[in-house]
Amino acid sequence: MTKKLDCILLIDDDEPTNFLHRIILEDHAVSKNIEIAETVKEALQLLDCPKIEGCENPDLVFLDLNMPGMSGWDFLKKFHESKKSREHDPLVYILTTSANPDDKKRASGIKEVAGFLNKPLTGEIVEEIMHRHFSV
Amino acid sequence: MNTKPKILIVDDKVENLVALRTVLKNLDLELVEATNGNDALKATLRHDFALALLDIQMPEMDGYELASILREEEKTARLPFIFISAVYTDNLNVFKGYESGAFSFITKPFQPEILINKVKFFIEKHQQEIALYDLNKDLEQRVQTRTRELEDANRELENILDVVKRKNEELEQFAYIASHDLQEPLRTTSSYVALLSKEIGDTLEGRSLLYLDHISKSTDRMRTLITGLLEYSRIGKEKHREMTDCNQLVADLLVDLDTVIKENKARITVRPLPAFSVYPTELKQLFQNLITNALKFRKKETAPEIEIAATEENRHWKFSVKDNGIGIEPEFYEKIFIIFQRLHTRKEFEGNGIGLAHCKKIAELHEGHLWVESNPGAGSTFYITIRKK
Repeated sequence: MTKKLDCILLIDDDEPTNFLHRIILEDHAVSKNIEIAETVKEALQLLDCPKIEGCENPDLVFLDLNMPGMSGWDFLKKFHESKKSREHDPLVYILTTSANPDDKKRASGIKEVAGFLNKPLTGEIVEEIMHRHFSV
Repeated sequence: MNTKPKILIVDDKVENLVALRTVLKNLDLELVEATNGNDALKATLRHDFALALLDIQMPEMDGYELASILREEEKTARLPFIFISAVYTDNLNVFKGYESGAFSFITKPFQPEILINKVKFFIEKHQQEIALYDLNKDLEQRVQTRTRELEDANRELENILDVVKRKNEELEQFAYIASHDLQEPLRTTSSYVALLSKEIGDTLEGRSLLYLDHISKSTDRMRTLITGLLEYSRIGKEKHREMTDCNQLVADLLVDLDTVIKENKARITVRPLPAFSVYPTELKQLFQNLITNALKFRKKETAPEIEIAATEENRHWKFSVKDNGIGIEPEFYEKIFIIFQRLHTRKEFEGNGIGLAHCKKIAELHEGHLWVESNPGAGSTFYITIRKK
């Protein structure tokens, strides 16, 4: 058994991608709420002040790397800097199209990153993450 | 050179040699003595002399003969002489034969001070010559070393350039082939999505309609990206520079862009531009991208004002395109020129992240650079340098 999460935050600039990921997450009914940010700036704002009730402390974040303006790496840097002000940290999974081994290596050096995944998100991956981190 | 200057003294009479040595003893010199011409010549083989004091009247080989032999030998050709002559018996006209080299004479009986002065003068001159010679030699050596280093560096640079050129060609080829081959499955996908839309579009509802919409939008976007990549890899291929009046080039461009300029109520000022050899199609493309960017990234409430100007530099023409738009944060000054990199979502501003990468490549095609300086909230100025040809 896994517990049902309060909130998952998707950070990706591509609308069809967010749409697809939302459907997969909804189909597996793993979270009560799903919040979407299309830029890093928006994501950082949502962490401070969520638009959806129940998303005050997201349990899980899926983070794209290549985004306009600030990248996923920039998000991780700012996320790290603002750590003290948060009660509990969400789990961050990088979810990218990048097949670049350098990116994977770089991600492994950041302690806020729980894992490195390639798009698209699938039901199996969602189940595995839930099983690994949110078993009851 | 710290060794003492050497002087050759030649006289057949030993007492004369002793007298000379006595006169010169207070000078810091090394004296080499010879009592006849042959010994003197032998001595010149072993030593490097700064000066020779030659008695004129000697048996077998007199001072003149010795002097002319010394002049002919390479090693002593520039050796200065002081002839010591008995003025009543020696023919002073003979000296005319030695005009090519430095020489002097002194008549017996001589005043020691006069001899000392003459010797000092020649020694000093000799030392200056040596110093100059050393300096020249050193300089020559340094020039040679430097030239060799430069040649080595040049060769290395040429090798690197070759590698870079080859890699660049490979990359361009790769981009071309990749983008070309990627078009194929994409076209198939697009075609089938179109068919699906046409055949069952009416029967779809809810999420399914959105799926189809997303597929179609994504394939459209992919087509734009691939076409952009294809064009990017083809910039400047098989083209040549042509003498172009940039005033006319920009004027033509403003006619092309007339509609969008009027829509934005933009004011565009064009300062006098040069006429020189450029890649006209590419340069027009560059200005088009910069002007449309200036119009696109305008402030909502302020009518766009764009100024195009050029200044002449040593080896380049430096163009500038200045706007009063939203500006760019300094942290993104580099990122905007990387292909497919964008600062805004497609909802905020349309685009595919190719335009400025194109412009940069066009500037580089002209052996120049492209960069931006900006005041966020107040506007940006893009600078383009183009190498004069």
